[in-house]
Amino acid sequence: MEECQKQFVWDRWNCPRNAFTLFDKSDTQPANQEMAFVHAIISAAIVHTVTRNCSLGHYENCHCDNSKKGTIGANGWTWGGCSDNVRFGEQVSKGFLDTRERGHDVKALVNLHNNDIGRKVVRNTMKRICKCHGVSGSCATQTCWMRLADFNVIGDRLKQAYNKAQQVDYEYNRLNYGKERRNIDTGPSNFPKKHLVYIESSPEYCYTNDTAGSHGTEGRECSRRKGKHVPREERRSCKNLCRQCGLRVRKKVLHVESSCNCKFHWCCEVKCDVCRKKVKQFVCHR
Amino acid sequence: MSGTILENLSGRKLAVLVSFILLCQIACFLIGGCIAPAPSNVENVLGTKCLVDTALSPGTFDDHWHIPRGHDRRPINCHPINNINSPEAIKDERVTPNKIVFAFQIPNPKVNEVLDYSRWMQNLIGVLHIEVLYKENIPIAGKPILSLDVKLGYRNKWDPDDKYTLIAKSTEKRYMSCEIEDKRKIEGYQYDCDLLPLFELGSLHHDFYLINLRLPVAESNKEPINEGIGQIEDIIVVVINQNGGFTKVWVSLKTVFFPVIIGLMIWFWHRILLLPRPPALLEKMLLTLGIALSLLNLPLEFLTLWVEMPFMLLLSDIRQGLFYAALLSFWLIFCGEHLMDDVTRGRVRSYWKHLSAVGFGCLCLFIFDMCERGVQLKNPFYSIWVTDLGTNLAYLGGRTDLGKNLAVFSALFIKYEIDSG
Repeated sequence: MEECQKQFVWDRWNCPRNAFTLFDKSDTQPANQEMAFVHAIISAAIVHTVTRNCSLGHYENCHCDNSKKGTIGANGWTWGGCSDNVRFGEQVSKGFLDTRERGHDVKALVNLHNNDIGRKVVRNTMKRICKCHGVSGSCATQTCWMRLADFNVIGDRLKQAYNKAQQVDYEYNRLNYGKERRNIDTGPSNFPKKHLVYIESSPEYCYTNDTAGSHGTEGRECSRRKGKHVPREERRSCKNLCRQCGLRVRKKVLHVESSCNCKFHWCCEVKCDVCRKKVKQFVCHR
Repeated sequence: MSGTILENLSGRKLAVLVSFILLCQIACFLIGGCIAPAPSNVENVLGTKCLVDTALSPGTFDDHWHIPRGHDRRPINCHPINNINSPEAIKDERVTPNKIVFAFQIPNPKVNEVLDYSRWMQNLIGVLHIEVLYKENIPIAGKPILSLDVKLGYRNKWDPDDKYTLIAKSTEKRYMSCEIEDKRKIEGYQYDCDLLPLFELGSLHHDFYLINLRLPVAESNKEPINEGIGQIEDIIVVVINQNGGFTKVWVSLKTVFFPVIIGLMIWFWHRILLLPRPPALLEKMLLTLGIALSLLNLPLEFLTLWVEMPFMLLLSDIRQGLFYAALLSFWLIFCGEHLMDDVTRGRVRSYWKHLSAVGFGCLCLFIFDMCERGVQLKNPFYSIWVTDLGTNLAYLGGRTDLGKNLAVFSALFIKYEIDSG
């Protein structure tokens, strides 16, 4: 959830807490672009967390599966080792999220598809790493494995998918995807494979609208930071959040106490002086 | 020159023989491909961050083992901390770098089942992956040196949960090499760090292993260590072991072919001794090659099931090295006798230049191997690659593959000989 808010800090919709209540009332949530992102990121987060916890060894139910292991004489572990934890993470994510979508309507299909995108992103952001251990350490024998990416990277990738999300609509249980009309029974395999999909258009997030889950942009902070490495969304944030919503940007100057001249070790111990700093803050105001 | 075996065969018999050998080869490929599992198994083990009671200064070790999952899966001598960089941990006076131990208990359990290593798994390699967070205030300074105080211990199934026996303890230095893209220079993103070698065990004789690893910092008045290494969030040890099934298939093939080749060799030599002339050089070389091959095939691995043999990695390197040396010498002499020119030399002495080149190459590899794997017998954490020169060499070696180099080198050498001869 923190990752979601970090990704949307400069957008009109800022990933409010109640967006994550989709477990309770899956049917009442609109299937718009933002909910597509929420579905995908939750699904990705489950895979990521389960995989990491399995490698910590404290989680009790991590499985080994014996597929692709050449199972003759299968005394599993001793014979062929144990499979990747990611595979188990994906199973958990599927079991936990996909079983919630019991409906046979388009919405359920869309949600399933977006869950799947979340899982795929985790897998696609993984990095292949190899270690050579042949004769005298040569690469005659090499073992490779996949390393899980930082969740921030997964968040970035999902945000891209959100920006490219495609709308599908349906009439009489038939999907209209772009110009083509396809029968819904053919299932989510017909959705674009790499993109998030949604059905309904997003509501106007400028104004407070409780039924649509929007809190409005009044009081939101925006940024006027400039420079090459500042992302586009951040550069345009004041325009997007305030001015286009009919609000004015108010500049506040805050005196913030912060730590400086710090002496750090690699963890958990920091010795700092306290400095006072002026910080400019821009807030949308009516 | 009168022949021994092949020369006397008719064309048909030769065809039968060749197709039989070909079939054998295909059968071996199929066994390898269909029955045997992948040669090795990889496991990512995320370290448990233990807060311990006493702070230890760099280079010192305590007698306790810090065990993340002891009796009933409860930690022993270890208060696990979830996030060592959370505001609570930073505020907490008790949490200091010298009181943090990264504990790795391998193998990880699965589905409520405690997995253990089997002696069929032969060897264990550990590599280190360090997760460093990007922080504007705490950057990584160039290529910093990581100083690790690390202990490795083992436990057998019948031992009590907290009884670990020391295999080795050592203070090790590793060069960190981390990068981050400019667009990812945002607080909370991770650096992309290269793998660091941690240990290599030549024998996997026991059931469970435990690694306790510390990154100590010096007191303020001493020379700083572990400085400028960024903000470390987690440490992952990737352990690689040979798969039991692979060893079984491999050793059974060796066991089958070892007596076959010994038998063939004896028969071959017997036939040669029956001839009215002394054995030719090439025939002697063939015998040498057969002996080297049998040495490679000798299924010594069976012994590791009963006896602890930490020198197995070194021994298998030496056996392979001897085989390569014999093979290269054989090819050199074969080319010399048949291809170079029409002169038949028939004596080893006329090949001394070529053979000593092969010998020198193999000797270099042997010395190098003794420096790395020989020292590892005493200290499994030792790595020749951690010096700057070593890292560069490793990079070169990793890119170019030693075996291919040898092959190319010998091919060029032979070509040169043909041209000049």
